[in-house]
Amino acid sequence: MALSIDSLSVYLGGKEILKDGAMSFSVERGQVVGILGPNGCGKSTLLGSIGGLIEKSGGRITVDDIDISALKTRNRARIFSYVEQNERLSAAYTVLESVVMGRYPHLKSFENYSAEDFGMARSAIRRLSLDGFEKRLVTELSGGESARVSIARALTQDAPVFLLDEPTAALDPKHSLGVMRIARELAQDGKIVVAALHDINLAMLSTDRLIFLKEGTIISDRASKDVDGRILEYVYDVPWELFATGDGDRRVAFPVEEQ
Amino acid sequence: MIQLEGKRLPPIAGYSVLSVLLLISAAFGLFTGDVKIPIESLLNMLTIGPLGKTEDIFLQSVVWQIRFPRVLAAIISGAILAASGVAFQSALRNPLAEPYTLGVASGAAFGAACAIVAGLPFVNTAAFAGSLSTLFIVWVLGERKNDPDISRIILAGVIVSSILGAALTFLKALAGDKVSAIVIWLMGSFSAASWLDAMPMTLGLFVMLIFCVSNLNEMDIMASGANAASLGLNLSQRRIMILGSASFSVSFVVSRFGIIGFIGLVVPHILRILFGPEHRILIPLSLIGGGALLCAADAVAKSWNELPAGVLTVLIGGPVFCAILWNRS
Repeated sequence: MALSIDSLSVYLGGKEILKDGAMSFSVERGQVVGILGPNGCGKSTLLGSIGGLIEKSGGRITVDDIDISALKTRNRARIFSYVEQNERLSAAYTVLESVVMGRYPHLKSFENYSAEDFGMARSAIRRLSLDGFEKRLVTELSGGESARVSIARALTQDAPVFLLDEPTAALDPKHSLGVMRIARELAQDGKIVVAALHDINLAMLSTDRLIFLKEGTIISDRASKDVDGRILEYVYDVPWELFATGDGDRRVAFPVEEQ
Repeated sequence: MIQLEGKRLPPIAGYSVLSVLLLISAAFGLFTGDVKIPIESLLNMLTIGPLGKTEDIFLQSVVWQIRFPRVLAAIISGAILAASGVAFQSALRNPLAEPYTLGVASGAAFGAACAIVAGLPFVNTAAFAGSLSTLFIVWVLGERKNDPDISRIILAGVIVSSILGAALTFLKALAGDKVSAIVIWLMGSFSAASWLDAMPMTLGLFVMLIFCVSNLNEMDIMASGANAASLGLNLSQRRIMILGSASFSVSFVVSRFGIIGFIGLVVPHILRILFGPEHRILIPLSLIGGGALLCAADAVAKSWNELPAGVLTVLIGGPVFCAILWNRS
């Protein structure tokens, strides 16, 4: 299975967010790909348009040669599990009720969630370390807990492609690592994971490949281990220093203030 | 104050209590009226039925031709208003939404006022046409395909309602001695309910039930705050189905019995606090609860010198709603 993006372009409000002809890449199954770039570079727009949530202006998105724009909304939701950035769960559903909604694309008309669906939801809740939260109301959760509920729902959706829009933005380091570990496990299970991320170190640590965007254009598409200070400086307009840690196989990057 | 948030009551308790309240309201409605009917005679007439043979034809006619249709109309109207309130609040993801948010009431009022001023006999038909035309205009102005932001459609409803409200005031100024007829229509009342209303009211309830029951999971997703499209929901299509059918059903109520406020706002909120937001539970409870409340309000209104039910629902519903807000804060 492969996700292919070919010359994707997106205009929003008359502005070209993803530039025509500058957005092509493909992701094979088993890969975790990080999308990085400064604010407003088009990361969320890219994920939204891949998932069919934002209308594209041009180009083609295929999964196993199936053009996703030809699919109905529900069929598309069987292919893409999408985690929205800063999702606001506003109604007083319990965590379990909220997570089981991930099974909706798999229901037939008039069908209710089955015991198996609830089993999948409970399993996802445990995987996100939300044990004991099943009966808690989502409106009473902290921002980080709420974000984990959204990720648990995406896991319950169980699609072959996961699109995660800054899934760790509201999480503490422990849970951020936990979520990215789950992303790796999903890839090991043969899924495709594409995640927009802000934390460069977390991205270098937990992805196979990093795609850097700037002003709606792909600047670099390379293995995570090959990221260097030069590309980071070009993308973020600030110098970076990279240090080897541990056995030397891991690196951390810091932006440094210009003298 | 009891903190109910997070501690839901079992749905069976709601079904049981509300069903009993509905029966009590209906009995109260059948018992109350200008003609004093002893309980034994009332029970006797109910047993005989509308077509059964009896020596007291007058009493049979009061029970079966006047009171029963009125109780039935109030119950069905309350059920439609409360359940459509649930539908509106979920589909528009807004706790302040109610069945009249998309201008159905102001459209009906304007249509009725036009007919009254022009001296046309078809006031209810004009009201129905007014409410549906308004719904269409608001929809065209406010709906954008699959746009999760619903503020545009709410704004369109508010603006169109304001324009129609101003036009209604203008009509009242021009109406001369017909202004009292407009005011009475606006107050809302079931005093003229008859068996002729049964067919359109049942159709209204049926339409709403079909579309609500077939969208229970969808309304849950829309209300939850989750990204509905990413879960496979065609937002535009579902909004048309849910809001269109609810407004269509409410048009039957508002065009025949006037503007009855607060049922669609208060009943869903109280039930949501007590039993949680799941639509599989909330919709049936709202149908029963709305029917019981409006039937009771109409019976009380009837016993108070035919006070319009719409006035009483706001007078009771307003303070109850304030009490809920106070409790929750």
